[in-house]
Amino acid sequence: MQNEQGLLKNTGVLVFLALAALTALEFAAAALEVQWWSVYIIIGLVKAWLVIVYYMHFPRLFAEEGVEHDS
Amino acid sequence: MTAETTSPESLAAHRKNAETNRLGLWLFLLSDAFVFGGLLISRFYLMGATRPHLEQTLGLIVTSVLLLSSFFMNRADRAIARGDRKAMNRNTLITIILGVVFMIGVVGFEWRLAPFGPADGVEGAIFYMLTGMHAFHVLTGVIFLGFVYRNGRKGLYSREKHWQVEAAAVYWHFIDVVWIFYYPALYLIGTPVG
Repeated sequence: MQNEQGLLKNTGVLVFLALAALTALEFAAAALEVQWWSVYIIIGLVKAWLVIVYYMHFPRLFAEEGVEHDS
Repeated sequence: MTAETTSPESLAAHRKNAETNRLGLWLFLLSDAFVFGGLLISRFYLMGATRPHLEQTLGLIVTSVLLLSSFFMNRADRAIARGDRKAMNRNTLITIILGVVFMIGVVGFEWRLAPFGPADGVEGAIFYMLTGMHAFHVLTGVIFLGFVYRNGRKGLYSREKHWQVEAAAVYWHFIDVVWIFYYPALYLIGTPVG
């Protein structure tokens, strides 16, 4: 149980670090005047996926009654 | 009644209600996403490869603040899921403070520093509409979190019963997801004008 809680805590931290790194990456891309919109769109989609799956717990929507999903 | 006075029957009923509420919340967010999506499309349709001339550093700061607030809201959600009310209250309060800081950054500073008003051309209309709509959602999110914090202080949530905390967390993260797309659309993509 403690290991599970530790893992969840680490997941939250790792997701935040990934979000911060991706934000820094898109900021750097803009500073370097990268004009390919696809770069920003892909980074945005990855960031949104991370938040939706790991912070909003989207898989809970499809969980069976009484089953806890801790994604 | 506090969160402890719960029978197995009431817990089962609560869980069933939470499932229905969860579906309703996600459907509401889906409909809200279409509103934000429409505004985002209007930005690219009207401005194309240009963007409003905005303060880049401030944009990065408010974006970081909102990402950080999502991190703490996730901690609050996880804390009550393991029955830790103190940690939930503490992290919810931090999220509220960061939400207010974000609003001050956008409405208090960015709106004043922007070299155009809402009626000064396409860039003004786009910028104030997108940030205004988003800031309004941040405001309602902060109010929602305020209720959750007050109820948390009263001990109304438990490991088994904390639907309101989950709903507030999902709503708050949704606001973050919207900004994930608004930030590059307003601050990064295209050549600055205005």
